[in-house]
Amino acid sequence: MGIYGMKAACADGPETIRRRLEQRILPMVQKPGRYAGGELGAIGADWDKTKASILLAFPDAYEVGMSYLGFKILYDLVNSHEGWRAERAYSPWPDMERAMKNESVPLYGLESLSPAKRFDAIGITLQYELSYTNVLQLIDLSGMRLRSSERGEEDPLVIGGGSCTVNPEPLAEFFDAFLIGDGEEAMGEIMWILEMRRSRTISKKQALEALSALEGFYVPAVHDPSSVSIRRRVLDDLERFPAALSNEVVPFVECVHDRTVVEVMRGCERGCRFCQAGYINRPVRERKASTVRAAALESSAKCGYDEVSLLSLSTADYSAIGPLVDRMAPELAEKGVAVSLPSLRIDAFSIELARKVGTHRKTGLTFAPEAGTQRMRDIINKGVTEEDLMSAARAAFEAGWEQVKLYFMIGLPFEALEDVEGIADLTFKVLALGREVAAGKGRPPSRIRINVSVGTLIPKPHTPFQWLGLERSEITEGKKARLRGLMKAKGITLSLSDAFTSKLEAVLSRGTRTMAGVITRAYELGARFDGWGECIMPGYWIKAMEEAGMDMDTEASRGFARTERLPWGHIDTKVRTDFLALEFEKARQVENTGDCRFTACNLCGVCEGGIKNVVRGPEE
Amino acid sequence: MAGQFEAIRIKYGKVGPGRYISHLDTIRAVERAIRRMGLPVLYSEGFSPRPKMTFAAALQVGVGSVAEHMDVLLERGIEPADVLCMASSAFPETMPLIAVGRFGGGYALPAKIRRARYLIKPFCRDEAGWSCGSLQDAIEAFKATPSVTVLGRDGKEKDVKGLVYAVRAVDGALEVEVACGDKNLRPQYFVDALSAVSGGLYSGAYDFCRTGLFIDLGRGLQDPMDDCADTAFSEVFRS
Ligand code: SF4
Repeated sequence: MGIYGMKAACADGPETIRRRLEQRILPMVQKPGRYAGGELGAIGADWDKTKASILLAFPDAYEVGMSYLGFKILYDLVNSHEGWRAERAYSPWPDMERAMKNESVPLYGLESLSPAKRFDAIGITLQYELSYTNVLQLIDLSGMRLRSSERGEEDPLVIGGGSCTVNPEPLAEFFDAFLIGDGEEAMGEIMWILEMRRSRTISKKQALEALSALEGFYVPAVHDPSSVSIRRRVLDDLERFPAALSNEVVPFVECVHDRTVVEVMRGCERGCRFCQAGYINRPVRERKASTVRAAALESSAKCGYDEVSLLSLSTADYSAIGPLVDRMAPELAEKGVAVSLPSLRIDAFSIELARKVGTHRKTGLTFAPEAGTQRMRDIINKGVTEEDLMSAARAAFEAGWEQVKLYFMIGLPFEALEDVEGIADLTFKVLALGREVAAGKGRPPSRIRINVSVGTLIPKPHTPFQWLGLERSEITEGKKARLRGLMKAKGITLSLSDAFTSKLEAVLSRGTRTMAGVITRAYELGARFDGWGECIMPGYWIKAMEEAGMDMDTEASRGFARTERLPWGHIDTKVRTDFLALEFEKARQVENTGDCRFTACNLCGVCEGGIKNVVRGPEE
Repeated sequence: MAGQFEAIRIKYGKVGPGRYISHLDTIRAVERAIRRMGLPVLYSEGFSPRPKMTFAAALQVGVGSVAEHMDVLLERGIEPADVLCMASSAFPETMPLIAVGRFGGGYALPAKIRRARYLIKPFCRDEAGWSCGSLQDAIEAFKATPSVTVLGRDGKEKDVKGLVYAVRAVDGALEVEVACGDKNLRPQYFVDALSAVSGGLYSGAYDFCRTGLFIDLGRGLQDPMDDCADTAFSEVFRS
């Protein structure tokens, strides 16, 4: 039972909601623009002729959610279809949540200010585990029971998607269905089922059964996780859907990323063993360079952003990136629009790209060697050498950059103290190099700054490290202390991840269905926006865990035997478990695995039945 | 200013949810609208070039407007009527363009702003304490009080009386002209003051709308659009 229970469920329509917002709520809250709608490109408020509707709800602040490409794609896809309607909702900030509760205003769609319950479904994206209490907030504010089994026939279906669905169990009790994998095709199928639901052709139960029969859908009420196997949905070719969106909302409120985003490819096969995204988005599927270019020109002209970002997990690996940037950057520059590349490799080629597009001038460059020694980088299969880093850093300093950010991880398997110390070594080498280059060019060496960010490995489901638990925090904290001691130097700024946040993320990402009670309790106690340093309240979680008879440290560092069925064992990402096990063995042997785009197939299992790598190369 | 340029003056509104757009967000939104229009604006130099625009006077979050103004510098001349045409789909409905005129330059718009006019009404007219009769009484009480100050949101005393130039009741709403420019009075402070002198006016939220902005070029107060040539007005706002 949610905190607000049925109170917010009153059948208030858009007019009542509008009145309460205008008169009582929006004058009182911070950044009211987040809750008012009326953005450019948003669809109208007219529900006439609506045959099926979905509220796309993002379990984080508006500024974060509005920057998420997945929802932009789905919003466009649904609203481009006659008779289908998608609206948007985001987690209200605590002041707004309080105001909504006081004024009995439920969660509503920003387009028509319709209450969540007017929709046939609520689609919630699960991008990171630390948003789980916000997921409950969204369901609760909708005026529904938190648990799927307690909701009624007339309540909208609550459907989850996004990368966290590869271990859906901690949230399984709250959702009616999960979509695992790519959403483009599946969204259409959902909407057809919702049409039948809205016309009352089928019951809620029949709708769930229909969903459960489709590839990629996990329906906890229908499927038994101990025996079923749910195959991830994979879109074979991105070109089957347009890159340029015809319904794109341009926010007024400043967001995390205010820019046109064009996805150049999906998937990455570099095979970094810690990286969940690299395993659950295989294979690599590139878009055509011509489509990317046309979409960038069209969307930036339509939305008016001053930046176009070419998105993927590793954009420098996009086979046509060089010629594409050469052609696009000047065309866009003429219109006052810059190109940005969000994920660069550590090599001279990437620096050259960054130099060409120029947008990274403001923000500085980020390199992610991930580990401090070659042995460790081989263990995690990060195919980067010290020479690579040094030559990339040299190129960057020579091109005039003065600030470089380095990203590392600790808590890696088979890690020794000398691997941790290697992080400091490498940092000092980069700093010295920067100063040398600066001095050689007659610039003050003191201007060189290295920002080092050190995260803690969370062994994520469906990666080769999935059988391991989180490293015990006493050990990790010792390593952090060592780093702090070593890196006190002018020109170096060190930031370390927070121990509690890592534990919470581990517990939530690796948890079983028993976590549902803990998440509910933490939510009831007041946990919200756990991914926000200023919002997270460890006390709520510790209390919730204690009440459930669980110990945070034990749960976080729980590992699994190779023979055990994993809590996420019913989700088949198409990457074979023995492949992951082999990768773990190779990590132990300090052996690398090549990228199947450039070397032989590694038999990960993803490519079959028309699904394969789509690498197009430069056109013409 | 060096080199060749043309300037246009744009009058636009903030309606409906547009009232919740902050000043900084407004600047960004206008920059985008200008890029969408493909208007040949002049850009500043440097790593992140910005279109050369000047906004007349910031508007508080929550206040609507049909009288926002800005000057934009262009590389070459463009007919105001054509600008209006280009803008029709580029400006969001919540930030509609009202008029465009050719501006001869010679001064910075914000430096000449002296006064703003607001129309103020309660969101909920049927609530107690708000009627035309009581409004008139409140206005009389305000006029009769030699000095009125209120406590600002920042905790400081604000002089209200000296910054209010005109006030009247129109059709159950308040119309007030207050200082804007180097001296400024938030319309909320005016209502607070009115409420204080009249012993309570209305406890709910107010609907504020800026309906006029006035500049002083040494010829008495005038509408900024009056200092423009070839002004074109949007159909919707011609009234
Ligand atoms: S099946 Fe082979 S080619 Fe396909 S993604 Fe896996 S390793 Fe690469």
